[in-house]
Amino acid sequence: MKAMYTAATGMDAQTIRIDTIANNLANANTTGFKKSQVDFADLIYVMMRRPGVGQTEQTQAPTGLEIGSGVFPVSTLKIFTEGIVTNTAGELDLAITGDGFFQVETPSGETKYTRDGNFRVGSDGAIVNSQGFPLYPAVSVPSNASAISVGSDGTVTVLTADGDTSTVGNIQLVKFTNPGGLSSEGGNMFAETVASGTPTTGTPGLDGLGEIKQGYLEMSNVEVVTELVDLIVAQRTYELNSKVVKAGDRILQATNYIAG
Amino acid sequence: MDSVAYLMGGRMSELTANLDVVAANLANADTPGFKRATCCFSEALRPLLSAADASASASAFAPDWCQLRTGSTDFSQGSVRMTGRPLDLAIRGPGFLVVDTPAGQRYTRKGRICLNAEGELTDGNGNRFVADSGALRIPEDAEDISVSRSGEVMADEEVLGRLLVVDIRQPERLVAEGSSLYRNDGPRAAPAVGAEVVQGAIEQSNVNVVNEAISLVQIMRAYETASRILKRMDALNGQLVRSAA
Repeated sequence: MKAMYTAATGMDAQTIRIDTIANNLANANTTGFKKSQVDFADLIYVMMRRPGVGQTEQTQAPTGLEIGSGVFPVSTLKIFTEGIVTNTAGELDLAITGDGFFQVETPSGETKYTRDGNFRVGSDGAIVNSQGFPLYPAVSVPSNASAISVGSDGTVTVLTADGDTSTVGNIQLVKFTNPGGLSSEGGNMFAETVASGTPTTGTPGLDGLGEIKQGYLEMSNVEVVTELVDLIVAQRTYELNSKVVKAGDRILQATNYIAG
Repeated sequence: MDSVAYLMGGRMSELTANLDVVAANLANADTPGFKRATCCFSEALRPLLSAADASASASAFAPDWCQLRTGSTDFSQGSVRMTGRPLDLAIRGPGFLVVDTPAGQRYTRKGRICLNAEGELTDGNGNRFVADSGALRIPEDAEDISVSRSGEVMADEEVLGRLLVVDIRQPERLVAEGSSLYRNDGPRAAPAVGAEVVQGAIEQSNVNVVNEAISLVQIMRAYETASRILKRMDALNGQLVRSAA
């Protein structure tokens, strides 16, 4: 009897699903957060009787008998639908309307990708994200700047105290063939993997990249109600699988009863 | 007397196998594209030696073993749930998507497409989906991917090709290989008629948890009954032995 082990795979799978839902719900208000979803597939089958095997010379069994071994979580799919864009009026709050990622450089020199456009000016004048990692390619704001404006194509212009305007840099976005293959690095950042493909850099608004909207932030794309419904379903499925374990136990108990 | 013990023993071992099937169904109650397995019992008759023998004893007709004869997969449509993910495809009506695996072509109802690093359409395990124009590759600068009801994949209005949706004439000859894939041991698959591809949705498992929960209770109780009968049989045998001594 492998029913109890099969049920255990079902319970394991639901635990992973609940973990994912918990992470989605915890990030329901995280700017630029992309929700994940667990994808399941059935495990291998044990063939007890092959379909189409001859029973007599003239007849064949129309169907076979195969018994499954349970379920396994294949992958967590990152859902890159756009979150709601809200007006914050922040000077360096940038939202991407459409595809694309901002690039930031970590202290170790690696490039990470993010949709979280919550930027600010660092102590040395560089535009940095909330972790303090500078934008890549670096854009630095002079200390006498009184206002910063970011165009939809990523051009950063500053107005100095004496009334002059000057362009100080361009924000570039990147696009991946398979964004679902990016690895989540925490801090709202993603890193490139073999599965994601190499990034292509471009000007916002061109080549399929989204435009930049200044004064807006992209919120999390988690839909709380959907997650809660998923949570209830996962919990009930877990419970049902635990009932199978109980049924297996009852059966073993009945077997012991014969011998007892 | 012995036949009862064997009959109950057989019944109990087949009920355990039936529990395994129900357990696999319930474990996959949330697996997209999963099709539930069913099994049914049949009795094996004690062979009749002659007609005279049959008239002599009614017990000659009594089944002395019970077998889990056939199992089949229930290919009925699962409910279609909207996910909003552009690369989730559900098939409405009979039909299967085709994937190329290292072991040959396999069939699936699970249209959860992932792109690989080259932009090709693959399933969760990296097997490519088969289309009429060879491998489908989504261009890197595509902004919008849409899939028509007939399975045509378009990137920004440009048709890239049509995903193959086939009809399996003898679905009972499909062999489940796990990972939602089936191998076709029957006649060759033909292009599907009447199947419709729905984009942004996924076909859920067709396991009805209520029915499975009922089966679970039935199996458990039937097993207990069989074990009680066996125990009672044993007690009667014990009495017989004691009275003879």
